[in-house]
Amino acid sequence: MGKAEGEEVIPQINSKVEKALREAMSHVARAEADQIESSLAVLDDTERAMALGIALIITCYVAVDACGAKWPNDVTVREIAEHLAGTGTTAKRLRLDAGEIYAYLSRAVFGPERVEDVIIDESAFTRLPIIVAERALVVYSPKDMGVWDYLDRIESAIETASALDSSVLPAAVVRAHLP
Amino acid sequence: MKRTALRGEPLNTVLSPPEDAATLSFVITGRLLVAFGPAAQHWWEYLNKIEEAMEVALAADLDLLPALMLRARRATSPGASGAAGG
Repeated sequence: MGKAEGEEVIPQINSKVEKALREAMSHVARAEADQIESSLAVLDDTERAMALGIALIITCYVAVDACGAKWPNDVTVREIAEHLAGTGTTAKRLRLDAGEIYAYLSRAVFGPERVEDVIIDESAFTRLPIIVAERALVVYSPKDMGVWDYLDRIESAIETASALDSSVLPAAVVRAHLP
Repeated sequence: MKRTALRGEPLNTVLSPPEDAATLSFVITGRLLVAFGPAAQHWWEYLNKIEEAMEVALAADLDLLPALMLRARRATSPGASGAAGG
């Protein structure tokens, strides 16, 4: 059961982009926010936009997964933002702002707006999606799974989902939520 | 629908007698297929599609569910699609 024609909603994950994204996330883990741009310097503009788009998708996946495969409502999104900004010493060293993360999550990740319309500052535009994705992976990864293993699982799920017909969604919901 | 189809309670605890339960389950399913199937499809084609989707979902890993949900949302959200594509 393949996807319908023209249904390219999530881009294929390019290995060059993926490698740069992981390197950028490693800088976030060490609270080196000012090094994020250097990891993305090997990418052209299209690849860079793709990296930020994948970071957004990863964040979206983690949040939905953390909500038990349910789409989060506004209250939950606010709680997630506060959790990401306040959990761990890395978050404190990065001086994360819950309000800024909430705006990004509610308006761009779970809302209809484009990232550039939500994050006006140029350096924050590049950094925030990657910082939030990394923090989401760290804070919400399953207890028995490392961050990079969780990221592998997410990327695999995203690629598999991209290849499936949208009619599988209701069937997967039935399977997941029925006893 | 609420107790059996959406919550998984056994049919015979929700509807009785058993003959009514059997008849009603077919009638309700048939009406749903006719009422909510895509306009361009006959109800049996819609049923085929549902059965295929169930088979795929049963064989798939449940890790796929959040990815399927976000893909479906992004298909109807032009702003978010733009963000992903740059």
